[in-house]
Amino acid sequence: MKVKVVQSVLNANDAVARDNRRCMDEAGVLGLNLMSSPGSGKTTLLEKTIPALAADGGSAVLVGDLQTTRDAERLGGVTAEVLQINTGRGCHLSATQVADGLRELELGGMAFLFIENVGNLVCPASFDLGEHRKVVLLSVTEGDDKVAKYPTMFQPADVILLTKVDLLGVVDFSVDRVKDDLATLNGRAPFIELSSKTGQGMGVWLDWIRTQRR
Amino acid sequence: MHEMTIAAELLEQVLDVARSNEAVRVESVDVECGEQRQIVMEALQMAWTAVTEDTVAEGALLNLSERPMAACCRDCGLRFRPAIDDYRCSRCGLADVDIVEGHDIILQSIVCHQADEPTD
Repeated sequence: MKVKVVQSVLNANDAVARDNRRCMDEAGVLGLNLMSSPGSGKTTLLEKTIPALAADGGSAVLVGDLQTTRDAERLGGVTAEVLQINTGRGCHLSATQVADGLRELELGGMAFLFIENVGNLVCPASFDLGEHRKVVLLSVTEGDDKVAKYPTMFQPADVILLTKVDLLGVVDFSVDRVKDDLATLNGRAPFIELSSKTGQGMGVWLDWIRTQRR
Repeated sequence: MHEMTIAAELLEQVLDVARSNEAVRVESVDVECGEQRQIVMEALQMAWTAVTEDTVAEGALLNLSERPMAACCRDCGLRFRPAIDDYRCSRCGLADVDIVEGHDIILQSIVCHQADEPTD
């Protein structure tokens, strides 16, 4: 017998994602999903961002990696509310993993939840975690062709951060090429050039976060 | 390899449908993959074979089709079909769109058999 179903395969993930969003809304927390390649500087950015936002409210972090608790240990230096999620072979975080994490974090008094996704420019783009905004990082050491090569990551981004710009003088990287590629994919998202090391662009990034919370 | 996650979610739904129809075997499953999901069809087929092992869906044919994307320009409201690497509106030129079709993966139907039903 043929049974007609017509149902989203990601129904279960999306339903949990909606619950996550509601949970963050009730706690008055802005949820930001940070996605990028491995090594683009997500953790370093958070190490600089969280203390700089202290006057605006506390930050909690969920950090996803296949293995190790190294990122959580690093971020434990800037917030007590940090939880490492080890995905094993999983190449992205799921809404259920975030829901489990939310149950363990104390969100009372928090203003921001940073979700540091597994480093990967493909799979994380397909899964709603319940975040309010998608933050996509691209570092200058990765090469200026990544926007064109991974359009599904950059197209839905709410903000795009070009990181490690202090290295622009020592790597072959055309910022204009990245901007041209973004113009065909995503003309909506602000494009912020920054360096966690020198502090360049950090003010623009912090102001963008504050604006999203209002 | 997010196709493995998708195959596992798909199997859950297929098994739910099979259970509610008292099926003992699933023969085939029709799934429509939105173009924007960039599913690698071969990878999904491979993942499906792996996740269905030792279930009533083992050996079930997975029929995959692709649904093209449709976008709606947030500026001028034009509905158009973007390319996967070019979302600029053909009327106003801005790449500021909502994806209104082709971003989902839909389980359309399954063919299954009950115990007293001939399977051929």
